[in-house]
Amino acid sequence: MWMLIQYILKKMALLAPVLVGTSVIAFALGVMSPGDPVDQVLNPNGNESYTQEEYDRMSARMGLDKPLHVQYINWVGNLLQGDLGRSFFTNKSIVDQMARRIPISARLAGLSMVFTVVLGVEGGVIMAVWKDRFLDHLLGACAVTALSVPGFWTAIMLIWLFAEKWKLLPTSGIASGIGYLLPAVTLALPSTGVCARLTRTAILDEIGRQYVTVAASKGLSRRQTVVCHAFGNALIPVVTYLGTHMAGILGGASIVETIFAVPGIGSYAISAVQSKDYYVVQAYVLFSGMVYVAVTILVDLLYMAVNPRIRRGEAGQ
Amino acid sequence: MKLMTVKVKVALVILGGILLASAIGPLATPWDPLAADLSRALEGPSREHLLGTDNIGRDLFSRVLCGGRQSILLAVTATALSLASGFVLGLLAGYFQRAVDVVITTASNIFQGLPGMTLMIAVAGLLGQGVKSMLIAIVLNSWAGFSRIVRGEVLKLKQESFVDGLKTVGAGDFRVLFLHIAPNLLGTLCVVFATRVAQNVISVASMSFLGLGLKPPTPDWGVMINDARQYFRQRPLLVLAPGLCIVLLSLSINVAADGLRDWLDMGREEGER
Repeated sequence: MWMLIQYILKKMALLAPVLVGTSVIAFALGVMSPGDPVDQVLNPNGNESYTQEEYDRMSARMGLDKPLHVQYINWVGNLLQGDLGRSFFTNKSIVDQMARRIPISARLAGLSMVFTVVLGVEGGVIMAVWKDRFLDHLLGACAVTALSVPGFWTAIMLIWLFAEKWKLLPTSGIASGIGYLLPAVTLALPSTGVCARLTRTAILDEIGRQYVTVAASKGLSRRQTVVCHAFGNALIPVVTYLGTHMAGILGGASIVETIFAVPGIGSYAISAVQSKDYYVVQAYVLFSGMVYVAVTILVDLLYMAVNPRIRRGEAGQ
Repeated sequence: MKLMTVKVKVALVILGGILLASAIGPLATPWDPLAADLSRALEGPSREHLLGTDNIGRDLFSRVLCGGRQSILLAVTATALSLASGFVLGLLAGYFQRAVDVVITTASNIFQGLPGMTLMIAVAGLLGQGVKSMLIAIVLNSWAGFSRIVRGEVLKLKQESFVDGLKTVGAGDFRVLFLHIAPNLLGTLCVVFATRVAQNVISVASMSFLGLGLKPPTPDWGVMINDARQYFRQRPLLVLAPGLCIVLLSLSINVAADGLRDWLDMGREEGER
């Protein structure tokens, strides 16, 4: 148990610079952006005038008159107290907004992951079992097509077919749970293609190994050999991919969320970018980085569950 | 291994067709892709307008023909810039290790930690719409992938005996690195480059679609799809035609990259998406 904790602590130490770096980038993006936040607060409609004195007072109140490194430290300090500031435009607390939106994005990401894992892994296994046969070629063509289609186009097509033509599903919004279906499918499509291809290659890499030959020579069918023997060892690259993908769609499903009007983190970011609401953009970039770090740690733990060699080897050191 | 399967040949023909059409597009268009004619808005396909017209009466066929130029050029340039920077940084990190490696690897971890679309949207959004901010956004997003792969390959190649041999005869670090180790990476890099271009074609289109990329009225597939969304029910072709072009482009690049990978016998799927 102690080794396990040590191992996790070591991983976290490696990821700490990533977290710090992300916060610096998030902060820098805000500072470098065009548009003057003080002006945006004093003059939100673009038709109000203010004096230089008022400007300076507001600038001091927002802490923007201090040197950059002081501003950064203040920002991180507020951050650690759970305060990410307020949106320039809606004047709502960003943390509250995020807290309301994160569960929605998480549900969407989770549902889409279910599709990706089930269809992608199963597709990969079938392709590996039927290598170079018709089924392999057919699914391979589907997979490469799936990963070549831009998400926004899939979204428009799905809305057109399922919501407008056949009227089976709602066009947008998540008023009913069923509203998650189309966005989840859209998100899952390219990753299912990637996942299937990765699973196939990873399994085929294992098939040349001796233990697989032994299993096959015992008289197991090809499917049994693949699923019972090669599969477990082939999982590592697939789990790695799925981990990064999960981190990506938790924070980065912005396009799909925008098109389907899902009030999640991604659509929040898009509207913030479009209105140059840079505190929100900062918070969003930071959140994505944190999700990535958390998912990376989880994936490492999964490795240990999947592969006993990592469990003994690395944790023992 | 056969040099080229039927699949790869078909992909190359399609890719060649798209590139050719994009290259000579502006010379071959029946109409000016920017000329609006409100009296003939949203027309269906006819002999005059092969694919019909859009909401302000511009000829769809001409626009589709010109719609790939900018985004293809942008995707290829951005990927080449990412490749160049990732390549040099990866070489240095893998060869010198220690402090150099720690700095470069940490940086690449940070950039890989930010999901691609997040970073690109934030950068392009904050720097303002346009070609320059898209270039910066894509390079920031993709250099780390290249650098990571190059570093891994260099770590493997460094163990080879030819490196020891060269050092014995007195070759300097940079000579070994750039003249002897680097050429071995060519095959891998070609494949990774091609897959990345395919991804970046989609990224560029997505950003233009969001209004963060190329500016209207530029005839660009991503922009066109965004413009046509409201009129989609009346004239599905307005969204179907540019969309299919994007799909065909990235699909043919992906299939060609697969062919190249098989040909070089790289076995494993390289690079993360």
